[in-house]
Amino acid sequence: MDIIGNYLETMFQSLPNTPNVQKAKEELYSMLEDKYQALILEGMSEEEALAKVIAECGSIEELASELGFEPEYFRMREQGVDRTKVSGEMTRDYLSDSRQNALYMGIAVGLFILSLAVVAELSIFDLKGVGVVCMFLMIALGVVIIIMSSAAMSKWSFLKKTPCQLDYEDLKLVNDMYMYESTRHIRMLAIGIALCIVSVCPVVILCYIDVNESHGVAVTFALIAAGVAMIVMSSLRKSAFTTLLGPNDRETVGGNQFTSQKNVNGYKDPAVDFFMSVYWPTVTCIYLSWSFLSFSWGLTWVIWPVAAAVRAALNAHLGGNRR
Amino acid sequence: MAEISSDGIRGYHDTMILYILKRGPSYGYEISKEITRITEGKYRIKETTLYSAFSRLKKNGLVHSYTDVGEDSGKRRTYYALTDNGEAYYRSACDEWTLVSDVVSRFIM
Repeated sequence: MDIIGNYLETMFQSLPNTPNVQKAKEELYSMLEDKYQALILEGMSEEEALAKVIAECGSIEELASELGFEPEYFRMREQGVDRTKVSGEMTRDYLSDSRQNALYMGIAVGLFILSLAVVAELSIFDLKGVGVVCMFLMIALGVVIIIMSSAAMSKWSFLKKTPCQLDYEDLKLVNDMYMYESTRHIRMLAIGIALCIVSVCPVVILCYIDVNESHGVAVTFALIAAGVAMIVMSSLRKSAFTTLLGPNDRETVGGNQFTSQKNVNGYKDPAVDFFMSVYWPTVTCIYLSWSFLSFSWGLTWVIWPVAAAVRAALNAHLGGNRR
Repeated sequence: MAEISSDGIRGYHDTMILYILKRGPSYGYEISKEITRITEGKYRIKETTLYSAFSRLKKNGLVHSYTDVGEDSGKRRTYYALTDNGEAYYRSACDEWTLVSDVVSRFIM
């Protein structure tokens, strides 16, 4: 176990993760490591060397003002902020609950789309009424699943709403798991997207052979259902990890080495920030008003690419996404 | 044996580091080792003290830093080197110390 790293993380844990703090941590790590190795070469035992290195390292107060934190601020941080400690066990529970939730959400969304396939298929046998009833039953089932699963997940909402803190070791573990699982997430996402794309094939193929087209429509919907379910599952699983790794951005305390340089969305100028936050809703309003008033739907879509280009230009001009 | 209080020596860390850097660029641990060696173990600088001295010297333009790979271990380290301003500052710090030690020693029994 990396005791020096662990010691430094604990030492710095009440300071926010600014680039300066990161740099100080790295520099100190390098110095302490050099010293540790020199002591070992002199013939000290590992325990003795560690004890000496840590005892002579000094305190964080000496660094605080150099790093741009007044001692006053530093004390306030130390006492004032109440952070929920997230233990290793909680992390594991959260990840397994999230995985289950992702599965349920995938199934629910899949059911919604599959219900259309059932309507299409049953309409062939002149059972349109039964098909519609089935559709509503499936939608109801999907809604029930979503409500139940969200309710079960609501106990974890504090992870997103309140300041949280994970131990260095646990965080390392979560990050390792994230790295390990991310290939799986990407594979799932790719298969999901591929299914959505090939979903048009049944309809096209059935056009050329003499089978009722509705079969093709049903198969298409079934493929889309499977594809979307996989996309939903993959992104929900991924977001569980980002939630855990997320609290450690520059706004919060240390105890990590992974995500400190993450950009925070927003603009320096509050007026610009407000304008940008209502940008897309405004564009949508204009689009809908224009379309309904003129009924020239074939033309009005132009507003979207134009709006996107304007926004990109504004972004570049107004100093990007950093606060 | 008398102990050096950190308040007492605070103003002289910069001078000590600049003296060592006058002989050539160096890095954190090497500088701290040198301080211990030169003072024959009478003074040992803490790593946090050393780092805050580095960042203060850098801010004032007395040293500059760069990353390099050590010849011995192949480890990447931040090296510090003296600037012209640092050289001038070191001179004036020495003159000031001569004066301080002259003044204070008149009160030491």
